[in-house]
Amino acid sequence: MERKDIKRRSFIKASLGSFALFSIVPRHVLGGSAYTAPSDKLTKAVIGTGGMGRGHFGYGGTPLVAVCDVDKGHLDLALSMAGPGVKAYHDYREVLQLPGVDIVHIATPPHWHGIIAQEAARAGKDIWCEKPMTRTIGEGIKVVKAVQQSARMFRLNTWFRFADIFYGLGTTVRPVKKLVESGLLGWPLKITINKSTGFDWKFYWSGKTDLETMTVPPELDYDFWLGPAPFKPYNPHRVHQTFRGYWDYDGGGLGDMGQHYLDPVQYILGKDDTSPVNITVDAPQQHPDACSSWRRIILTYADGCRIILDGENRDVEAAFIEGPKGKLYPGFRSDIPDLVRKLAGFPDTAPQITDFNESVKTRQKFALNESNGFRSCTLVNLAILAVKLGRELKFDPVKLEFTGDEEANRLINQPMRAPWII
Amino acid sequence: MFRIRSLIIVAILSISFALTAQDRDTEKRTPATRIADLLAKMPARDAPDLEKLMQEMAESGEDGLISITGMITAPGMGDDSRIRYAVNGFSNFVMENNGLRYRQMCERAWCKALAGTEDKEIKAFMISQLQIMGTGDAVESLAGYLSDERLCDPASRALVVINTTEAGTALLKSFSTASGKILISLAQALGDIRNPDAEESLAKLANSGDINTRKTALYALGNIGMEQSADQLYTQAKNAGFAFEPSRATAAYLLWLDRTGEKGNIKLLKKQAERLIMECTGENQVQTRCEALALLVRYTGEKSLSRLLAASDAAGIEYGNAALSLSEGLKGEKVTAAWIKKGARLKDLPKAGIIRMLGNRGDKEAFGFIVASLNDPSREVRLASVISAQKLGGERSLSYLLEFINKADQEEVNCVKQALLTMQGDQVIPEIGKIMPRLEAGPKIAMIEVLASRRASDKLGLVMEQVNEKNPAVRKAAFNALSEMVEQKDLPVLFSLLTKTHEPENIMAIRKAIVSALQGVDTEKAKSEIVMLEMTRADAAMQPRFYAIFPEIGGAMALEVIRNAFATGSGEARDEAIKAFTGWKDAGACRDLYAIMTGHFGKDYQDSSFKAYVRLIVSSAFPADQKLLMLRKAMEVASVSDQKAMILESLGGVRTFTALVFAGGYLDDPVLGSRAATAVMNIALQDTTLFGDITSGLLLKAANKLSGSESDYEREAIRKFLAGRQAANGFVPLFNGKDLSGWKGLVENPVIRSKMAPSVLQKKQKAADDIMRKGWIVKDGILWFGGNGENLCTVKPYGDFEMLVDWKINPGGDAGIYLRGAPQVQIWDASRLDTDAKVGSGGLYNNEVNEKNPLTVADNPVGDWNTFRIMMKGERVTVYLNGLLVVDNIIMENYWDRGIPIFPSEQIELQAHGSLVGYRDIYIREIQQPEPYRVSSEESSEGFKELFDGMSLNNWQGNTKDYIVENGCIVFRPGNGGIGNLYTRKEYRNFILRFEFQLTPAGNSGIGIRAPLNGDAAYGGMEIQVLDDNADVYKNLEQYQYHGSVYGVIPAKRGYLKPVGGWNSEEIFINGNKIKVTLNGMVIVNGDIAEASRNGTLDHKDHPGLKNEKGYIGFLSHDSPVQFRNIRIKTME
Repeated sequence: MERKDIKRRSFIKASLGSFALFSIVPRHVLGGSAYTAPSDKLTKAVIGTGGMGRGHFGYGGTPLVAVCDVDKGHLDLALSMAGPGVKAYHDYREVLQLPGVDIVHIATPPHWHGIIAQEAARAGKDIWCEKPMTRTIGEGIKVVKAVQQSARMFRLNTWFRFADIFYGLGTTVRPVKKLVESGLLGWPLKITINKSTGFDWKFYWSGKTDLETMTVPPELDYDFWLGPAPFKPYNPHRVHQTFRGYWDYDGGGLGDMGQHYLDPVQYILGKDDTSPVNITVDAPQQHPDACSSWRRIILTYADGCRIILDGENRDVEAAFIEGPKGKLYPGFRSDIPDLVRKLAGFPDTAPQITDFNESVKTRQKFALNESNGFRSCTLVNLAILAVKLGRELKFDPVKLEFTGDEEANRLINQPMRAPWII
Repeated sequence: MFRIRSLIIVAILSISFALTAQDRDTEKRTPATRIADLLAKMPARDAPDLEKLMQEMAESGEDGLISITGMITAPGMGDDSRIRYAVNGFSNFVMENNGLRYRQMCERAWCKALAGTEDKEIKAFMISQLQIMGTGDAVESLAGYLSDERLCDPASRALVVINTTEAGTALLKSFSTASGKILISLAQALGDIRNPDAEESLAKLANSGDINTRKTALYALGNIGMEQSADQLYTQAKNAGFAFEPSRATAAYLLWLDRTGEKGNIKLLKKQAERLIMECTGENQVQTRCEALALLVRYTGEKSLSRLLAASDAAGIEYGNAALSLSEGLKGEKVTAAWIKKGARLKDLPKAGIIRMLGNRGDKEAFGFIVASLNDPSREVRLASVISAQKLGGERSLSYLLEFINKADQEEVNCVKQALLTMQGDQVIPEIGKIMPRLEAGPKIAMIEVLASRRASDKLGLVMEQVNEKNPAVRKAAFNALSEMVEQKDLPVLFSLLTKTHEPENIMAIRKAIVSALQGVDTEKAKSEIVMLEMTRADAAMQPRFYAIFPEIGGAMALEVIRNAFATGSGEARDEAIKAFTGWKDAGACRDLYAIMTGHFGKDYQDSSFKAYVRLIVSSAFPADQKLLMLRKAMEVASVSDQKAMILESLGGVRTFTALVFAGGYLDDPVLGSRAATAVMNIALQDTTLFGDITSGLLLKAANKLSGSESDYEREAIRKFLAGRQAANGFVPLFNGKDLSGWKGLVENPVIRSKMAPSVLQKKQKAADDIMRKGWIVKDGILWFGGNGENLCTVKPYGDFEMLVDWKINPGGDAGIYLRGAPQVQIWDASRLDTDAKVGSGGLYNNEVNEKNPLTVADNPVGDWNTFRIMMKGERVTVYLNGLLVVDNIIMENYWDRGIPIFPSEQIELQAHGSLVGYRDIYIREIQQPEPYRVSSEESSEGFKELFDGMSLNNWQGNTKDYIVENGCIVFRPGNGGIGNLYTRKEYRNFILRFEFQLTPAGNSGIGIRAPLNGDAAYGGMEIQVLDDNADVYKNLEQYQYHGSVYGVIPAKRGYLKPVGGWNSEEIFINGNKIKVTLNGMVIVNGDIAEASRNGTLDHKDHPGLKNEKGYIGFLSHDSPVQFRNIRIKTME
């Protein structure tokens, strides 16, 4: 079995040419946007089979060959949905060693994303990872390094950068990106993310501040579920659908929605290779264990571009993008007269690879990859840290560390509970 | 409320210099009180608030900090969240500028707290705080837990973060005697902290049979990166097959390589990395090989070039591509030249890869090689060259690409098109224009598309030439391009094309272009006129071609054109008219669409008109009530379940109570249940004013019906929503849809009724009820009045309320809604000419002095349903008809006795006015009528008088900004800009004060008596404590701080407060020096203030106020919204 799988794998990645193989031209350039690269030969495994993970079963059109979860209840449900022939695993490391798996989908809670992504890269797998990419900036740095050094393909599971209507904006991101690149709005830009501009922050991911200790249900391997996170006595509110309310595993509504909202904004602003230098926050004091809501977060880049996260929808009149020369509102409305016609005269935005199977086969970076995904996850993590600490932070986007804030720097690289290592 | 002082005074201090006053006040409070006050304010509202609280906390000193940590409880042993907020807040505080000077004190306190508790979970929490803010000073404390199974892990992680030499030494010391899980934790920590002294011990463990021991030891050796670890790490990685397995040996070796490079031992790194590249040739080792190559490039730079070039000869797309990506980051002409040389010797895919890389690398030196490769025999190479030429050369590549395009195949043409679309510069369009005539069909089409995409209007002539091309594909591309390029001046040409063209798809394209060209015309009417003129000029047979333009124009005139066409046309013309209606862009076509979907034009037209109708309603500007009526009308004729589903989906955006109930009616439907659930959720969660028992019932039911990938989120949102709301005064049904329960017949008018003897009334009522049952019937959920009989009256009287009711009448119909027994909110056929009905329905018909007519005619056509939303508050009435405001807060006059205002409360009646009328969905929400508070006659005879009537603060002075009247209570809501306490206007000497109060958790207030208007009432006068003394944060209180105590002077008996949330009654009796406090009927203080202070007070503070003979009575609240009501006083001589 194993031998056969190895042959299958060599075949897929060697079938594109007779000897030394290099990149080929991305198929979307040749086949138009409707073209879908064949996926019949690539396979996937899904690690973490809660609601999110089960959603991954159909992604990419690749056949599912293995599922993995530390909760037997989830695993049984996953198996019942997965169809015949799919193998179930308790320990993700066994999945990483399966020769018949090409792509590993990571749909665990975020405190596991970093470790599994890094080890999957070291196991020679390509990676399809849930958002937020990593729970800390430090884990993100290590994932980027591992993925790039080992020449793996990585995609983050949010879509708006390159497909789908961008929430309440009423348009995809592509024309917005073109508008910004055209310079018609001027520079620097301010982007406001609130209900009026089409984005509704979900604040129901708040943790409870006085959890009692309860008995771990027999189907759950709680110690494995915690993994690298500090040990805390079990309570069902910590795990499964409600884990986002606790700093040890995620960062509340920001962890849930942050990267969805912020990744396209980063792309629109052309900030895929940098990060903000200043983060201010208006939020109630946060509990050491449980996250709650916040009112406002402002992320400012060195060139003056700002992202306003308006949690209270205070700026009801705000444009989605505001520049010195014009504004853009949801539905591609603008105060610039005859905008669509004016914009047509400008060059289009550079094409991206938007089919992950194509990336895997041609070894060309996916549109949303470890590199820009790390930067947009850093936006999320900067916002989370500002909320958690309740104060202004200054960040060095090159050194990737905070300036003059020892505590914030201690949170960049958080030691893990043994024996988990990143 | 003693504690409020400090904060308020801090605020005042910034503008005055009364520093000593503040010091004195602070001093008077015991440390425990101050801490309790502090904790009650957690969590802080915002950063400035936190800063203030933390400053206070700092002032409580090390002992204060320790006493706070003493209140932490183990998980599940009580809610200590306020304490954890405080402790964690303080750890954060000492790590920022303003708190830095307290860091040492904090560290000492946390270390003592860590030692001072037995509970391991509490210890773990304290260790986590040291991880936030600890320094080398905490190392000793933490080291004490390195041999503890539960605490070794958190302690070692804290030491890693503290990261001093001593921390490393402490870890290593414990390591020598450790075993099991502890050993693993320590090995990992030694690796994290990179303690070089640990190398030897770790090396022994790195061959352990236990996987986790081996894993952590290997990692630690790798991360420490000592030269002597090389062989061991290499061997282990080799044994692991240079691939992933749970001991991560390969990763440890790669980490070691990286550290070796970082340390500058390049020779060693190079040797080891090259060996790895040589050995990792297996299929499952390629990622490791790539890593070795990446490390080699990172640390040897250009010197690794030969290795990169060689990688292109190795087998495997992954390794070859890794070499190319790494080369992208390697700058310099030498690298460019080497790759060009290499590329020139290769062909096909390998060459294409190099060309692509050169494009990404951005070295302009490669441009010549790349454009030359446009002529390469391999298509892969040519494609890569197109992309790279554009990337590297920009507009400089334009001439090469346009020359290339005429000999290119379709894929290559597409590729060039893509390159041109993304190209910067203003030469693209002119150059395309120049070569256009010479192009073959394929490239020509692509270039037409580029012109269209760029909206190159000045090249319209070129494109127009192509609409007559023989090649149909070119023709089609030209037609499709028109809409992007035309202007108003091009309309004549377009109209002429419209009648001359044959292919249906091209006709569509022309119509689109006409609509586009019409954009320059100002009004819908003008646009319609232009098109109509052209249409009438055209042959009759050609006219239907024009119809599809009108839906895009919209407006009344366009609609009229199509309506005529539909009425007079047949066959194809009628089909085109129907299509025009179903494509309409504004809500004007709703009525026509309804006629089509209920007419008999076949299944397809029924479906398309239905969907268009719903789509237009949803996107229309109709008010929500009107949208709902229209959607319900559609629901009645929905023929298949996907049409019904579409209605339910649309209801989510119609946020009215009736819409909620209507959607809720489908929750049990096996097919539509989950759609209904989504609609219920979307309506209810978006509009909090709809809340009540019916809403919560429907939401709970909906939560169980939700399905889909987001349903877990949605259920959580519903749960939070329900938890965040108290049972509110929601809508209740007035009509149950089945019978006349809750209704009765009409007996005379309210004036006469009120004078009737009960027995007479009862008899008359019985007769009236009999008449009622003849005149009013219920059928299919609708309440009908047949035309004979009397008004239908609610059994219950109503005062202030909001009422919803749907009604419909026949031609000539007349009816109305009586409010509080009096006529009436008018209903009539607004098309009647024999009366004043043309003003529309909804007016207060019997008003004489105040406005009687509605503001606007909002009636739906007779026979359709209408919705009233009627609000009555006091004597004023507001009415919305079909969502439009028709009566705006107008006084309703009393028809039965014009000398008096409308009755304060009476029955609601549905008027019988001799014509058929139907009602449905009648709901009412009662609004609490504020009634002034009056002392009972019994208390009145004793001499009590109201101090607060529940409505106004007339008898009060001082902080009337933050103390506000809400629902008949005085409530403290800080943040409105007020300062200080609320005091009576008059002074009082001896008195009995009675009142009721309600506490919030940890709520804290007080009653000042014989107090001055300024200063601290607790000392300048007396304070009778008001406090939730059961709260956790107050567990260390002194007796004289319990609720009811004369603060600091006479303790109260504890334990007679009602649970938080309940209303307590209290009496304060003071006469000379005698004072008595009675809580919920129990005397909790009975003392003599002179005696109690003779030998000094219990709190050892100075209480000059005890000697006051008189003073003001005040509320001394702080932070918590404690509420007071029914406040009355009896004064004594």
